Amino acid sequence: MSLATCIGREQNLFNETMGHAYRVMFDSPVLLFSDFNQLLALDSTYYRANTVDLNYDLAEGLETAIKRVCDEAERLARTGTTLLILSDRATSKNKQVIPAAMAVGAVQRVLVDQSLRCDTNIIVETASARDPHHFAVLLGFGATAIYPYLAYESISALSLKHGVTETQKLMLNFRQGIDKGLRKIMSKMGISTVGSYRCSQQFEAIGLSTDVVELCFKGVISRIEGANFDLLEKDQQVLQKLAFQKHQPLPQGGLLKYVEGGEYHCFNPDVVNTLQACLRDKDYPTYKRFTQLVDDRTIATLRDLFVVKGDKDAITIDQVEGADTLYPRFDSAAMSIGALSPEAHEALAVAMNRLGGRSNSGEGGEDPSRFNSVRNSAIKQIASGRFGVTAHYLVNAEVLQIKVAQGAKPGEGGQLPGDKVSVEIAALRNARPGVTLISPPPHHDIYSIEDLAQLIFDLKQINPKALISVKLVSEPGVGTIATGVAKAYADMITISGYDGGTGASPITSVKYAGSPWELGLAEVHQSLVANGLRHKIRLQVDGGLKTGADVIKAALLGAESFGFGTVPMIALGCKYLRICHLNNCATGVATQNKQLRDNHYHGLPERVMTYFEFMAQEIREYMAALGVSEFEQLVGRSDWLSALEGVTEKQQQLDLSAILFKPDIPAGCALTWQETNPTSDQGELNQTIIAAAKEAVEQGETFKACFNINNTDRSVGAGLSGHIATTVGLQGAKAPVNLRFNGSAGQSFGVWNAPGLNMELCGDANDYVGKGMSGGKLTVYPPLGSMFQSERSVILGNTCLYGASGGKLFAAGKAGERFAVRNSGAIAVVEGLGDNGCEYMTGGIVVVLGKTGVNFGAGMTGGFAYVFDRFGHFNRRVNTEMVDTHKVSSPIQQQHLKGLIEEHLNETGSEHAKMLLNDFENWIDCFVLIKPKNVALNDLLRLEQSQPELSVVAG
Amino acid sequence: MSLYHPSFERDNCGFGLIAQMDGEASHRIVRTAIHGLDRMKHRGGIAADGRTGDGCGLLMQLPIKFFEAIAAENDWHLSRKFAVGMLFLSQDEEKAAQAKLLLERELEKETLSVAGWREVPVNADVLGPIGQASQPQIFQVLINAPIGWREKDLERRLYMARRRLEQQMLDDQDFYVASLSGQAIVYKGLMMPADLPAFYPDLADIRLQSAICLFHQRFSTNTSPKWPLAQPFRYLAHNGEINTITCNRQWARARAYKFNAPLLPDLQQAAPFVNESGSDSSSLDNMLEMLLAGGMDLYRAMRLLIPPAWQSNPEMDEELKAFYDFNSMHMEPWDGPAGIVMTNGRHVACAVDRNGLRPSRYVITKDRILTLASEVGIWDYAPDEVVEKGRVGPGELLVLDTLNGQLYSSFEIDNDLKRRHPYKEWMAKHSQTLIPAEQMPKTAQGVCEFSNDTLLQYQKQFGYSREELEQVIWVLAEKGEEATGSMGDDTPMAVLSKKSRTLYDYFRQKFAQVTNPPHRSFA
Repeated sequence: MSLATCIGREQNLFNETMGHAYRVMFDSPVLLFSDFNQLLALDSTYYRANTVDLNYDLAEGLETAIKRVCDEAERLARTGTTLLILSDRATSKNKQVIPAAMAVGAVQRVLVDQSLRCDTNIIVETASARDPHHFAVLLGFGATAIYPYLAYESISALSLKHGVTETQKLMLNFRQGIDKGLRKIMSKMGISTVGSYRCSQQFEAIGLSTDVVELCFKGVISRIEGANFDLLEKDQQVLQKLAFQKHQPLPQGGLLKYVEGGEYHCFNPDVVNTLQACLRDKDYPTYKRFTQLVDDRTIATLRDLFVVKGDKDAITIDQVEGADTLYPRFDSAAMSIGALSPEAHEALAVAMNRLGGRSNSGEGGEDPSRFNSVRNSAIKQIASGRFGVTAHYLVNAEVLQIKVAQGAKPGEGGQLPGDKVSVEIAALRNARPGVTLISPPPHHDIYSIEDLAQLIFDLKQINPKALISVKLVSEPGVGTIATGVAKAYADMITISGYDGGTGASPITSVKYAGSPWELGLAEVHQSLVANGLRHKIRLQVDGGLKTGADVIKAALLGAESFGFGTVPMIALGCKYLRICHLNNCATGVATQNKQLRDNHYHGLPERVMTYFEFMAQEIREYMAALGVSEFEQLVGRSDWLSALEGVTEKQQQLDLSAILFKPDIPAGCALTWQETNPTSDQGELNQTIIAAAKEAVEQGETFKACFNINNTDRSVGAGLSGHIATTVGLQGAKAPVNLRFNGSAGQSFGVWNAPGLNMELCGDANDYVGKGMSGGKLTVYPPLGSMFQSERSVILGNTCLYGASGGKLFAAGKAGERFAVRNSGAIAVVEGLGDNGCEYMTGGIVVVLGKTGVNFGAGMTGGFAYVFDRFGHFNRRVNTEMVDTHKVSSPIQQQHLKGLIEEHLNETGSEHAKMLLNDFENWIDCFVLIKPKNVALNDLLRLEQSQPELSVVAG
Repeated sequence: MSLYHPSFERDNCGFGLIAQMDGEASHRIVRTAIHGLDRMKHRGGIAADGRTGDGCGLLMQLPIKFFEAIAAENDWHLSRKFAVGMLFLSQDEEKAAQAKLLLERELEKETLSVAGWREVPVNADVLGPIGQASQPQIFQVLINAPIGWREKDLERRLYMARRRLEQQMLDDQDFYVASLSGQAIVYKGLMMPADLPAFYPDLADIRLQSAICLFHQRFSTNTSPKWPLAQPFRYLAHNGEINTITCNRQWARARAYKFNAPLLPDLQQAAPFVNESGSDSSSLDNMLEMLLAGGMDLYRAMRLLIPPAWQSNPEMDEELKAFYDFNSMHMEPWDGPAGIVMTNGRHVACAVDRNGLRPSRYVITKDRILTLASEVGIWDYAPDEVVEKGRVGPGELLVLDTLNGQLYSSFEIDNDLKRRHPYKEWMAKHSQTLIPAEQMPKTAQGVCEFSNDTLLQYQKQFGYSREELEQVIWVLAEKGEEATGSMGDDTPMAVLSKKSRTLYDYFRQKFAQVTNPPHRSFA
């Protein structure tokens, strides 16, 4: 990734001449004092700098002032200014200041329209920018570089207060922090260079009027209108007045944590305490007091601006469907064991199961002893880390949820800090205690919609009974994404708001990423209806739902199922202290600390159940008042919602009609979920295999068979692995099942391969071979007598062994990119790899008998690898941030390596392996051993060989 | 008004190409391409009617003999050098006639003449109801070039004629030029791959021969697929998504006035060069065709649009870095998952994005047929025919020149590019780098300029708070990274709030989900 920025005049790219090299380069668009000064001092023949002042007289008005700034910028650009500096520095008592982002966006537009932008660079000297999001907004609307002088001044002052003298270091740190934040923001959109981020407008504007967007942010998505120039100016005026009242102190704030008199918080102490009181006392009137506190709050969310108005006569509450049929609409939101304490996690499962709703395992696996009991999570999550996702895990679920994004930090991965990785957690995740576990930002098998379709197919092959759910986060365009997801044969979609839950994440992600669920839910519902797919999808919403009114409003906007995260946690005792990421949760809910859990956790499933009972009762009361006997009749009736006028002037400017839009229903479709969404491909080869091997598996007898295969046969083996896991269980087939295939295998050959299943493929395979395998053996080799050399030819596709936790893979040929990413226990021998091999690996052994690509071993915290480095280039290709490299010098390791290569030869008949073994004493010097820095060389074999026992303990 | 905008539509797919490496044209190439595409139909999407595909198609060398035969059958006179246009026209006869008239007029301006109009035979029965409802009239126009024109001259003038025509046809939504070239032709539409030859009997005609055939099947995120958005486009087929498309389109617009090609003095008449309403892939195709029409070669054009990760690549030498560095100022990467196949009728190429996010596997068989696609094993060559199996890796470009039968790897292409000019020397001479603050003397590092009162005034005026100073700014300064929080955000959005919030608070960051992946960010 690169933030490298350059300034100067652009040239005609059809010509390549020496003069085209004129430019000034620097490493970050965030300028320090010395950077800014250097820019100003550049040779004015090529880099003339001029400043436009962003302060204006109140009489002029904000809009006119911005237009004047644009005119001035245009004039300067026309007359040869290369560095156009927009500065808000010259403040004074009689002046107002134009928000820097507005000036940048407006100037950018004018310079593009006037064909001047490529001769001019926009440099912003502003007091307003101080966190990564601010810089991202400025860059996203056209700024070339930013000099945040007030942040630096503030740091200087703070350093005095904190008694730190090295201010220079602090400035550099600040810049480094902003750079990191920018990289993270760019990464969320999958953008690698700041050059491709600049002007990309990767935002949704929420609450700006059309005239503001047209003048300053043209092209950005803005859907509900909002503040106009006057109101934005008024906001500035309030601050301006405060600024020049000398004796007024700096306000405390309160955006992050609740402060008396500060910004409103939906989970304020009053709300939390009343909720806990009503559940503790099992007192419905107190519950009603809680809902009153929530429903009558100051307007804090978009739904607060909606009022429900039916068109039917009220009925009595006995005519309304019972609470028992409402409970299946309620799920507890995904929270992993790891984030929650095991006690809290189990309590949620027990509560939801007793009630008839569903609890969600979250990412990170689940103790198999909970399966088939009241403690089992009916929803099993598949997240990017794939921790604990095995055939056995997947078949013990009613719903399989693919977590594409998470409300608290959409577009980001996660990590479980080492101090939360207890012995139990480590066993579930197939890792070692105390080692930080990283979930990558993307699912490495979902880079594209057809990839998601493939993952859904994998899941439906291994567990044909489960419904497949896909969790998305609200943002503009999520409706079309959901339509794609429906076409990829998902059965359920969950839309989360930005509000987020327990997940620890950087503050700017918490505050600025993702959109409210009201927009996302309405968009998804409208899109699915318009595309004639709504009846195939069960639509769920989650994000800050608290009361019956929330549920009714969400239903009217299109949801038929509801997820609850924070409230159940509060029911279990959470005090909303916002310290989940520190592992010292004072209520024992979100910690792994034994003492805190033993002494302070008092959560009871009954309290969670009481909450849902109360809420169901409240919903039924609403339904009676609305004259609706079945909940289903509410879903999608957005015509029963109307928008309130709003209290503040800004609220009054909003136009929420698009959210309330009710689309026409195409013929043969419906407004609610009617049917499951089976894949059109029936997975015939899997059916054939199951039919053939079923009896042997169930009887515990050996089985052998041979099949032809081609690329349309996908997820081969998954059906049988699912069958093994269902009928036999975690330990896998009691006697070996040996299958042999000839041809080119389709994607996901041997996905989630179960122990006891051995598959041999003569030919080659596509992407995702052995993904998530937990046992058994996969062998791939070219036909005997092939003309090409195996170590030079590609035999496996990308992302093989992703999330594998056991078993063996031998392939006589090269594999693609991201081999063994997030492997935690499989042993593999291949003859070459693409880029990013063994990324985020936490266990297992990988032997590469040939060349690897770059960035090998990035983020690897467990397991180890041997690489045959014939030409000594491997040191350039390994990422040594977390691993180090060694010679294979100890006789035990040499013997171990030799053993693996011999096994590879036996399995595949590889000529290349034979060549290496024939002269092993000589070749051994070319082998490199790669291991995590925090594991001792001598411990490697012991740790890897003890791995299987750990999972037995877990079982 | 609905929150759902079809313009948010995304697409992905399966793609590939088959080529006879020595340029030997045959119908077998076309047949095998269709078969291979059919074997990847699980990568495409099917609309709610169960029969309308999201779009598929072929891009191949212009089958000269086929069109000569067609011309002979119709008694049309064809010059030695001719081009063929593949056009989608409105079902409204008046509009269709208007489009034909305007095309002829624009061709005339270029001294090109129309040899004949051919209504392309089609069999609409194989389409699903959705595909049928939106099916355009499909016409081919055969165009004669004046004596003495070279192939590239013809392509350039066709480009200009087409761009001028397109600008006049903005109101006719159905009008679309699938291809207009003397080098290549596109057959595409909203059918399932297996139905391609049934819909277009031309494709089953064994006189239709090509040495190169690109193919593509689309998976779009809606159920109202459009004929023009089926791929391949005029030069390329793309699997993936351009994440930076807003940025690329804006810069294409901003930079338009800088484009100046001596071979096309009237190039500015073709502006705007990049569409802002079609798919991301079609915009990329627009940019590529503009660069090629302007005289840039395929190597440089592709390396500018989709460069490898060069800044921190340990395997790359300084000369090559200088090439990318030099060019980076004038073209930002079109970034995002990308597997791209393209052809200009002679060269065939495949490029993969810098992170290798789309698969691309190839096989070369004994009869020198190169098969490259999202998947391996898409047609049943026998094991003893296979000579080589490989893949196109992250940031790589593989080019086949069917004129000399040579296959060029990224290594060879980059070696050629970096030697064209002394980039390193130029950069050393004229570019300068700011001295990093770490290396500046203490005196140049700045001092605190504000008094306490001034500081307070500024902080209040720009909406700082004590909480923010301590929890955000100081954490950044002390640790060099952002503070962490949990339990999400439960405060009102800026527009709902009763407090004065900064303007930045009105913006919510977008992020990648499903149709493209977020990345890992690393320092």
